[in-house]
Amino acid sequence: MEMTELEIFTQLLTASLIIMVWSFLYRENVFYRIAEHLAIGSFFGYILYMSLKTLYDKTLVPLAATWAPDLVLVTIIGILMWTRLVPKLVWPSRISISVLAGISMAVAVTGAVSGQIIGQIRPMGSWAGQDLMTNVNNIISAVAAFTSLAFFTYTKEHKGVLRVVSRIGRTFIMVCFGAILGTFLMGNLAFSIGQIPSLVTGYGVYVSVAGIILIMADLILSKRKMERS
Amino acid sequence: MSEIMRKAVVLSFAIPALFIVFSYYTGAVKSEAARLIAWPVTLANFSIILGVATFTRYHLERVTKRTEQWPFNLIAVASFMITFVLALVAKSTYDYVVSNVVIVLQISLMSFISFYNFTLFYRATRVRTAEVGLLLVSAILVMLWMAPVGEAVSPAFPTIGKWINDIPSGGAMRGILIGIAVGIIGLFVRSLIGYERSYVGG
Amino acid sequence: MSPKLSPLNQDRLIFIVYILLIALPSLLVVGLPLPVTSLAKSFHSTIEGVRDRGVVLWVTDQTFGTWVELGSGEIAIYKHLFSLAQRRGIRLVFATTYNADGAVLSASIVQDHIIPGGFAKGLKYGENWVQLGWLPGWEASLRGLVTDIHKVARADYFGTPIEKIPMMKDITSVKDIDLLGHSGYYIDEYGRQWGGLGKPWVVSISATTVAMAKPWFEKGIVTTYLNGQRGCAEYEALTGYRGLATSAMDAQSLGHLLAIAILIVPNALYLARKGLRRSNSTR
Repeated sequence: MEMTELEIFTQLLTASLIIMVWSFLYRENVFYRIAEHLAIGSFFGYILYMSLKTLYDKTLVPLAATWAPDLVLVTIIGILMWTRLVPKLVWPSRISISVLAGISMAVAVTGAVSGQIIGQIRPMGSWAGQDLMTNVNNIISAVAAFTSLAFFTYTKEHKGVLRVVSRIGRTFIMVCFGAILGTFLMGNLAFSIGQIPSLVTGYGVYVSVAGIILIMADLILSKRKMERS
Repeated sequence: MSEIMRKAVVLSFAIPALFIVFSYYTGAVKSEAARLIAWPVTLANFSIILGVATFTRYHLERVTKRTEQWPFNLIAVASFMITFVLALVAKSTYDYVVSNVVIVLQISLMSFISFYNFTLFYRATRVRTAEVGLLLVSAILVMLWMAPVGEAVSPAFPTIGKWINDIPSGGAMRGILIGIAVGIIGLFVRSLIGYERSYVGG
Repeated sequence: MSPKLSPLNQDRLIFIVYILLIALPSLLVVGLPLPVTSLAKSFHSTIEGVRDRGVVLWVTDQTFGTWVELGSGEIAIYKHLFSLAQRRGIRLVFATTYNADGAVLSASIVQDHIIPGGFAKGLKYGENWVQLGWLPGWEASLRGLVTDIHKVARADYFGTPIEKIPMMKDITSVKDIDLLGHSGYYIDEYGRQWGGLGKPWVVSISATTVAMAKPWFEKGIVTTYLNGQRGCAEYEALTGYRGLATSAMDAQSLGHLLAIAILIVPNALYLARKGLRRSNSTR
């Protein structure tokens, strides 16, 4: 199927941007710095638009429609946050940030007690009425939980029984970190795997070839420079 | 920070926080607590706009003072302004820029993680102790569970890898999670009584 | 590695080998078999199990970064949900709480895949589905979505006041919701706010956090989950909506093999040298 000019341009653009960023893997260079600052700038432009749009739709329009006291108050507190930009007027912004922090922490704490403590201890109690393999697994899991908690006890010196228990906990934690390392890989590989089609198919191939030629030329030039000096 | 300011900061943290906790555990004043819980939707936007303003001021200062490598700061400011103006006046062009510039650049920058994963594996993982050996064996078995190639080599690999992820690793993670929750509660109590004020920078 | 290669060049060699390996499947399709595991099957059946005219709350908390991993799975999930809306009148509420990217991505799925693909045929926005957009505040917004949606989302993504959206008249809190779901990188915050609510809850989570999220995948908390890009590929196979996740599996396999080789070979050489040094010193 014939590609439109815009489609061709898009393929060239995306491949160029990827090559400019990935050129950092060879060495720091001006193309990478340009791409980096382009990324930062365009991202902030996008996030400013999204923030203003959300503020307008979800706060300012309802505020103008209802003048609800809580909306008035939160808008004032929000505007006070901006005093942080004026060095001599920083103090009201601290109140705003404290309010935001207080609400967020309260929400987290109430959830932590029910979900992260009680919710995590409860499943450890399911021993009876299950097959042997499940019970063995439950025992191992409970021992792992208990001993890894003991490892992170800093209020008492790790001596005697606590030393043995925390050493077992450390072993389980190493297995846990290994599992995290193992699962990390798939998520991290996806970032680069997702970019490859833009570089090896369509018009992106030309950009990739140009990038390779530039890198080879730089390698040869720097080798010659080293030999001369 | 003056004493009055210190007290004001602690009170502005504590009053909404205790109100929400009180409502959660007693079931009273639910509607008012729900209004309070909706405040971050607004306050977060104000803080993001503050962040954007700080970003703009920083880069503009470097451009006007012609500091080292100021042309790059100019690129940052220019791309910021162009993207924002496009969002307001030319929505379809803005959508194109988001899809083909913003998203592509964000993913490309994040893809460094995948490359440096390998250098991490090459340089930082030497089996100097049995525990590190255990870490690596567990990592390899879990990798063989996650990737389809593990099943192609042997059906035992995904079974073992999943068991490692679910049972010993899951158990240890449960302990860590409980510890984190205790830490959150501790931080909350410290903030309530004024010992912790790092969230306001002092 | 040859001792003559500098550390910088050793890194460059690793990067080149990695890029060549992951580029290979784009040029030469291997197509390793991908068995569908019980996790993906239970994810599929949990969504299928929503009652007729039930309500699904789906929070797309992805960033542009996680999109490459979970995006095509997200598209398959949206298609599945919309097809249920067509077949059985299920009502869909989409929201984002983490950052703005999720709202943009959610809107683009509907615009670029659902509507052109005919998955919205016979459905009406505001009656069958609603996009609440970005509700910044993350954990607080997650709490608000299950306690009082109308207070936390005063308008939808397009600026329509929530009281003017017909389907939202009956949907105010978790008691009106039949299935909770979210996609993204994190789980702890969701577990704190949604765990123990007594509703089925499915998660499409990045592989990066699968190991850390395991404690949440228990009875009474998360019902089931898709583990990263692999889980998304399996889900695509189950639903028939194949995408990037399926095509990325060969590259993932090659990348993993490279990682395993880099972990094993230098360590084997290191241990062999250590053993040799030890035996030489005892002589």
